[in-house]
Amino acid sequence: MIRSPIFVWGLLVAAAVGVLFYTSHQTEELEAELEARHRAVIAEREAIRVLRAEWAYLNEPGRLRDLARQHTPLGPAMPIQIINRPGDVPIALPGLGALPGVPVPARKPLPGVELSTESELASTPADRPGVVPPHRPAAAMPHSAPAEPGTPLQALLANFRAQQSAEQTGAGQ
Amino acid sequence: MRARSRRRDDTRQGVLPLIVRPGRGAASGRKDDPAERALELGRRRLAITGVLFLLAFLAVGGRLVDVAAMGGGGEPRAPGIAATELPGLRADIVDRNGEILATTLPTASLYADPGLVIDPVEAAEMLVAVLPDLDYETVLAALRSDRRFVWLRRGLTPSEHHQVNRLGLPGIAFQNEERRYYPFGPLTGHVVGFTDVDGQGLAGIEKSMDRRLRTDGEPLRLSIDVRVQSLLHRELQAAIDEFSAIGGAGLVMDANTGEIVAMVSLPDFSPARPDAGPDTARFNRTTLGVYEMGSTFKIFNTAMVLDSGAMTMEDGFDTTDPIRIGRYIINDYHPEQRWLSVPEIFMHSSNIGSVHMALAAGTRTQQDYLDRFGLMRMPALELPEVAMPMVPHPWREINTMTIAFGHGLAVSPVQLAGAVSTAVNGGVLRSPTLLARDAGAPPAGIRAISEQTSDTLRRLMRLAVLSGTGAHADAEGYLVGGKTGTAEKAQGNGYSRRALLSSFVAAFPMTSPEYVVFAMLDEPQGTERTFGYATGGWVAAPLVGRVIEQMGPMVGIAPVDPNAPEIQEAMHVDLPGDGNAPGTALAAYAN
Repeated sequence: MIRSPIFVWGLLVAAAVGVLFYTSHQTEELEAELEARHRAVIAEREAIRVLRAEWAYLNEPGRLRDLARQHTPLGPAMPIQIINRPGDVPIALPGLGALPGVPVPARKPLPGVELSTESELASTPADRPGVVPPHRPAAAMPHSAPAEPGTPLQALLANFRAQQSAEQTGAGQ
Repeated sequence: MRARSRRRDDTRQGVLPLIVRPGRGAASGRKDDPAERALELGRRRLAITGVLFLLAFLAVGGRLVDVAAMGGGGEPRAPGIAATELPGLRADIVDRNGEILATTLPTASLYADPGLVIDPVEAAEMLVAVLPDLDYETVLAALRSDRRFVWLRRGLTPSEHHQVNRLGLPGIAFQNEERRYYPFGPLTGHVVGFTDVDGQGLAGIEKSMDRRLRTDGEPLRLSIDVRVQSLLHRELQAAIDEFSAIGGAGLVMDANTGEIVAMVSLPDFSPARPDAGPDTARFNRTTLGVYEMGSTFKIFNTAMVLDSGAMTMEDGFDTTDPIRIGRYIINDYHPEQRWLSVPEIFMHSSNIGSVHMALAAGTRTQQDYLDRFGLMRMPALELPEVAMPMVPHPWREINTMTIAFGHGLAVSPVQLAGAVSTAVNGGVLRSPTLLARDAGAPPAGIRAISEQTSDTLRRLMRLAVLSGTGAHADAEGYLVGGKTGTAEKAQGNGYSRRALLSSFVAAFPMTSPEYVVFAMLDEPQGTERTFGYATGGWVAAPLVGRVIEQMGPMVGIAPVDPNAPEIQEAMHVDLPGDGNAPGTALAAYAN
């Protein structure tokens, strides 16, 4: 039993050496892995650069314009299509014949103004896809329309609903 | 105590103690014995050797621990990649919205070592199949050559790189290179410029900002808006095609900051292959070209007489008779042949009236005001291709007279756009720039004319579009105001009637101008549609109108009803005499 201290110390030293070498080896492995990851990150960054450049190339406005002309009936927004006061927003009218993809010039239902009939709308050139709706004369611009000053949206809605229910009762007879 | 017991143990086991002190133990009595002395000597040597070995082993062990545990002390490590940033690439150039105008891409360049190529014919066939733009004969000749290194193709795209790699050809290898890439090609060629193969800026922003692009990796943000640039480019090209012009220039400038939103000079070039086209394609007409601008100068002529107090809006001149000076006769293109007030002279673009106005103000005042508008000095723009204006020297009375209607002083389009910005933005001159300015407070400028004069000029420019020569530019709802210009190009000893420079400069919306749009066509030919006219009102004004109509929604300017009373009020001009009321569009005159 006199040797046991030496034995214990020896064992401890051996264990320490083992752990030391194992840890050291593991560190090296992790470092190698880290380096590989760094390389991967750089490769990804390079790929991102390339993809960004490609994205910019694909987004060239002239190219997008040609594609839009080829595949959609859309064109540049004309002043007549832009409404910049909330009071001028027209109410969508169901049953007026959906014109797929073609923006229709503002047709604003106003209290006391007869709604246009379907046949009248159907004759507008906007019916044909690809045809940009013609400019309406300046007199028809939202501002100069004979709107009652400060017509609230609710009043328009109420007026529209009343007309709609009247149509429905008419259809039921 | 422990040592002693150990020694006892050793003797008991019959093992010789390593070190035995003389005079102690069994041998003490026979220290003079020669055998005993030899033994003693042997033990000492053994002890010393043991100690040395112990030290050596300790050193080796210590070093082992040092190497294994402490990371090898000062020993150099294998160079690892510590950062995840790409190594110092030349910075990107982006537009005001962050779209990439120029970027540096890592590319692979394909080369061959013909000595290692096994079957040149097969290799050439396979390479040409993957890279169709390679010439088979050239590749074959290269692969059969005796050299050890031949370039086959520089700057492969990643997919080409991948495809060539998949061929697995021996003797074919890649070299990593960097390459400057311009996604929009010719669209921004004149602005961005280009670099040589070593990444040295040779033209445009690439040259003027070369140091900045090298040292700072952050993208350089320009004031250009690629959408507006594309729009202007397309419309200008369409007009050049329609009127068979030899070239054209277009500019869109932020009237309040001096930022250039679009800058187009046609014909243009691809920055990827700047040598491909003719030399004229690399000439930037918007900054390096100086031109006698014609009637657009009447904006400044009118500003001068009103701001200096030489005349008022009610004053005017009789424009019945042409002005004769020396062998020159100054005439009106579309003579009214009556007394015209200042606004009418502007509206009808009367040369005779303008000359009288300039003479009323005097040469000194004219020079002073042209300088205030920045037309006498070189503009401070971030491009290497910027020209000095051509100022007459000496400045005679005839120069004063001709400059009144824009002949005799040649300026670049960028100067003109800057001057018109000054005229309409409340009267403050700010130097034009291609770099995006910080949003917020506009940069400091120099006051050139009073706010009141600027307001009057806005009304006059709107009048010129509503009732004058610029009617074709009126984009509905955007309150366009502008001035046409048709200059005869100087040829030989005089001016040519055939070779025109037709331009139009506009600002919108005229109640509070945000942008100035300029377009110019070089030697346009009239067509049937324009009744043979090739003047600014016929060829450049419609182009500017189309640009404004399309860019309005892009830049977020809401169209307004031009007939609204408050707008009519803001744009109203009193026309003394029998002027035509605004709103009645007359036939477009030119010049």
